[in-house]
Amino acid sequence: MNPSSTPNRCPGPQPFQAPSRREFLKRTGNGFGLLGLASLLQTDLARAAVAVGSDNPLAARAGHFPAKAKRCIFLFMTGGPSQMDLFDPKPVLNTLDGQPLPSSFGKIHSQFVEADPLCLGSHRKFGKYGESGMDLSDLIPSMHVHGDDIALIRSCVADNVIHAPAMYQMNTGRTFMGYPSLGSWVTYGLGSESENLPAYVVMSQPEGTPEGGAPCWGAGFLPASYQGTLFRPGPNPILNLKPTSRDQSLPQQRRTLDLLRQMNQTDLDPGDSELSARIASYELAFRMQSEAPDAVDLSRESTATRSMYGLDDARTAEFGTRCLLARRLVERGVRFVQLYSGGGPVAMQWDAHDDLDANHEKMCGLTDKPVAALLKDLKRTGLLEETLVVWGAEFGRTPVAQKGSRGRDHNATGFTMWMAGGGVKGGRVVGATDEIGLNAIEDRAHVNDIHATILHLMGLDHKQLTHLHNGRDERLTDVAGKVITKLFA
Amino acid sequence: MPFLGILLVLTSLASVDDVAPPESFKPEQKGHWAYQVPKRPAAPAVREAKWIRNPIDQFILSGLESVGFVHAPDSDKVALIRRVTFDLTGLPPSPEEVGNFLRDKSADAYEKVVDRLLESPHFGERWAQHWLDLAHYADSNGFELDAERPDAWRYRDWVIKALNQDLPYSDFVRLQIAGDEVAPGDHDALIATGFGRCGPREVVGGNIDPAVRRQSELTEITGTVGSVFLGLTMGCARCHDHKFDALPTTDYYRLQSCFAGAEMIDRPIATPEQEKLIKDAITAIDAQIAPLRKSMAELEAPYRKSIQERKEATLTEEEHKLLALPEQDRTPAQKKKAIGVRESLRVSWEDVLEAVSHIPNDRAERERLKRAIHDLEVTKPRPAAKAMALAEPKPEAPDTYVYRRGDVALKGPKVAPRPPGIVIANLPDHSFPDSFEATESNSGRRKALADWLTRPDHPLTSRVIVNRLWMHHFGRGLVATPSDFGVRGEAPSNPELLDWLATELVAQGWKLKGLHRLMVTSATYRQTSSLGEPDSPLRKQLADDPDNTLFSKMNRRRVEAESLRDAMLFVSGEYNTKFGGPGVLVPIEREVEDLIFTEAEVVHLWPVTPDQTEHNRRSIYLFRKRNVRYPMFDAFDAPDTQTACPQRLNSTHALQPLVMLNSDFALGRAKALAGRLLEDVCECCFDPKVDLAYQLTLGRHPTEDEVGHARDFVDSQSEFLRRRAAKGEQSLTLPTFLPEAMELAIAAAWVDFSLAMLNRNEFVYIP
Repeated sequence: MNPSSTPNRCPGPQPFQAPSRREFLKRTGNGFGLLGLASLLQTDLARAAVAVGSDNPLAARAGHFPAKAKRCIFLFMTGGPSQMDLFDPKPVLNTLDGQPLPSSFGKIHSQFVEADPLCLGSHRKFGKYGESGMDLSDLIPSMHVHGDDIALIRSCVADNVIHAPAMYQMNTGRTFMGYPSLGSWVTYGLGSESENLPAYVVMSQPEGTPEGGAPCWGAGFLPASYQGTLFRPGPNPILNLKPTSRDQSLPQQRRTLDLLRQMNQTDLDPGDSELSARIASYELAFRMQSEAPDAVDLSRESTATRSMYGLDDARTAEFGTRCLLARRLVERGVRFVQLYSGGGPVAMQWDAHDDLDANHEKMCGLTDKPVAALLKDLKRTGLLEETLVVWGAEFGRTPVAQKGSRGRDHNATGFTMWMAGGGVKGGRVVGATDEIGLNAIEDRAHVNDIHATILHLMGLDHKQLTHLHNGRDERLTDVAGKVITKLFA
Repeated sequence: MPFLGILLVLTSLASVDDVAPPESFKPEQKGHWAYQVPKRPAAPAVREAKWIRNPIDQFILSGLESVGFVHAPDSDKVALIRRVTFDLTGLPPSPEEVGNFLRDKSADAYEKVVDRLLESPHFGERWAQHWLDLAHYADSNGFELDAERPDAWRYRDWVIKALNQDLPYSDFVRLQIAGDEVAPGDHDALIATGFGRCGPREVVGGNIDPAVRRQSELTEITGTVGSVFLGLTMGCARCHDHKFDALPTTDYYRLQSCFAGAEMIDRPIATPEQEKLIKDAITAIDAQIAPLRKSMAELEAPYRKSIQERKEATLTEEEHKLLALPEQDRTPAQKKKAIGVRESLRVSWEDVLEAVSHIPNDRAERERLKRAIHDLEVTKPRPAAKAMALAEPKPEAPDTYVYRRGDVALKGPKVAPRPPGIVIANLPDHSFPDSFEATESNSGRRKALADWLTRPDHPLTSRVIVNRLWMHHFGRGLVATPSDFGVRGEAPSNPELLDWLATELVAQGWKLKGLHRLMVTSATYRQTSSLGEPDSPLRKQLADDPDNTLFSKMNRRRVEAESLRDAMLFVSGEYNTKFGGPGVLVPIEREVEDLIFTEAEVVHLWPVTPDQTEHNRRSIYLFRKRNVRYPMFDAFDAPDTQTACPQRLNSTHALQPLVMLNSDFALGRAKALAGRLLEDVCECCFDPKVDLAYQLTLGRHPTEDEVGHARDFVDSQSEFLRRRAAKGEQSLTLPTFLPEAMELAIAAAWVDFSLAMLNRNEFVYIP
């Protein structure tokens, strides 16, 4: 009855998936099987690399190949910034302003836009910056000095024009909920260099959570240890880092923990790795309670640094603080930091349906100086070499007005993201959109490709970074993904 | 051997009326073990016959003996009652229950415990959670708006009751798939169909293609039915023929077609009297709210006017002209533009709030009114009862087509409803009807599917469910991939036992409690989970079977997230045993509440249930918001309710201790447990307090050493706290009960002691 009764010592299946699948492929006995075997063996090795290590699931481990980027900071502009008002000037669009969209551009797929929409030109002034002559608009004046640091991908493409599914896709590769996020995959693959801080930190807009919510940084079907840890403003950034309902000193807790350790060491099987991992996790938690407040204590930063990030200006202080925290965290070995600009009320998102200029002047005002400062600071400290900075959103915006307004609707068929540091060649521009910025027409960069590229820059092969779930070797890029080599080669 | 080749390949876009030809399968595909009708094996003979308590043990021991393994010794009685009580009720045993069991020297003392637990109402509450993991139940829709589903809990309660009443599994399946067809007019049956609606659903405005939306609903249902009942990864065959299993895409759409007529229907089930009572109550409250809203409007009016004027001032001359132009004189482009201009003049609540915030008195008054309105709104009764059903409104169901790559734009050939052909291929001819008994309101498709699934000779239905039961009792399935019985799933470690259990279930009329009883009263289940001495034979043999696939000992398991919370409430004496009802909103951390997404101006995003005793309800009754998870559940691997979860992960990381040491919940339980120790035991007795703490949390007495450690700790911690408190450096955390004469520093030390007890491995692991 049991087809797998091979001459093993035990009549049951082998304890690990790998040998039984090897067995399976051997038994198929044809060329395809052998071909498949090679790739499966690689996958097994990748999985073994993940499983190996100490009691700590977040222990640092090597990637699939050496890479420059050891850490990543992802600046997520929730709501969808407008490519043609920031990075992708479209003079032809300006000449079409107020006129119906020429049919030659095809039908627009967006959330609200009606039939026969009217073109909306950009009111922004563009200049060329750096030796590369990077196109940047007047909405982001602080970024003008970074023309040679950032590389644009002007041909980004996503599959959905509704916020939540698009947020899920840009974060997890799928438009559905419940898949592991990019940061989870990275920490699953590489662990963390910090022993006293979470490996994957998320900082959201204080006014509210981004659309789609916590699944955007969830671990999906990966173990919970790989989920993003939300850092909140204030001296106790991690949930339950300190008790809120009682006054407690660390020495008091130390004594309680000593009692607990004494109990745990005599309980059950002390040699059991799961139980010893649990004992170790209490020690890590204890260290985190003093390390995390230290990591978020900006008082030691110089006035010049604080001012550079805009902490002395009410408008930029909030996002500036988070950008400065991002630097402090990667400095301490945190593997993946994600910052959300935008969340909660529509007025606090990059979701410029009604009035593009008013919205983007506000959102750029909040973030331009801090983002530029982060790049400058990382460069100054040499961290930029090893830190990949990604700027982008779930989609971009339409070249047409939404219902004749001054705003733009969602557009997923051609939008801009940028990357800097971590092996990316600054000053490059990859891909292009059509004359009005609607569709990517050159070097189309789908979300899967962007993810494959980020993983590649961090030393991970998106095809090898897999996790067996419900019978399927799941990966961030599903069945697609092509590394955008033009960004770094 | 099963192989990738599926004969049917869809190479080109089919014209609309093409009908997919029937699938055919190769003998090696049909030969996969899981598709064969289970035959009842005879229980094998074993050498050590005296160990055998029921046939399960014969199968297990025979496997062990064949490779020269030994079984583990029996667990001690405390470990055994802890294990079986957690397993069957999700709670630890009370000290009385442990005491009674230890005192009962009769031969069937343990069987009596098992019978008591199987009859406990907590049995259904415990096992319903396992089922809800599969159904991926939550009280909200998910995606961006994540709105509440006010009637979802009725399904949750239906599952609990069905399990408590030992509803045969065949009926359990039939009602969830086709309750409206199987038992027309029955409200409970209609509620049972809510199974198909437990998963996330995107509800959002804008240009959503209805065909795309419908496909995503059907995708959710088809994948869930395939994995939960059939143990097949059907979802993999949506976009392409299954890479490993004999599941062509056509078969995926055939299964989907069974549900093509089923719609998401919220059917009223309240009596007219109930409806009227609710309507009257709402009208009365609305009447109280009306003047408040009027005051709010009056307060906001001048602000709205000036904001409006300010916005109008930004209009260009051209835009003014456009608005001045009579509607009928505008060109289509101008009409469009005019709508946009008017939209840009709209005054939002954010605009008003910003303007009002400059005048403190008005701001305060607006806040007051907002709260007053909110406070009245929350007193409104819940909406009249509805069944959140997946049912058919009419006998005709739309045609189903194969969608290439799962894309509704790429319509392939038409398919008729039918379960997967590879399973049918192993059953007698015509096991699934070619036509259905339609009624006035139903196509009969789902009933046919349900009848087919619950055939006594079905190869998968019984095997899949007995394997799930086994997995939850033993920590590992006989098939280690409980929702994948395909060729890529793991082969059963003891196929004869699996088939014996599957046929036994059918023989017992599909009643599950009998199977539970067989499993937990077996000698296999009574083995110890401990590995023993470093050189024990058990340890040596497990080096060759590290995953314990042969069950030569019990597997130690961590208490699941919900059980951990429930156990903490139980030992602190606060556990509220109330059954059922709408989800309870317990207090959550501010940071977690902030995670609730809203674009509206909302007073309380998380309106905590006012009655505090409700906060100590069992975890299964907590309101489950899909996007906002309770930190403790989140940290301890509770599934995220986004997809069916057949088996929980078990991760260990530093956020767990933070929740268990510092959260209000953990500290609250430590304070209550300490209060219980101080209240129930004479004030000056030290050892009995430690003894009670051990009995409550671990079901056993402390050793002499442990009492000594406790004494050292309470002495030194109270001394430490005394000094700090005297210097005013620290306030003390006190138990919920304080004996009159007890020094506060000592009482506070008992809280820390209790906290340590709740954190220790022995409390968090099932032996």
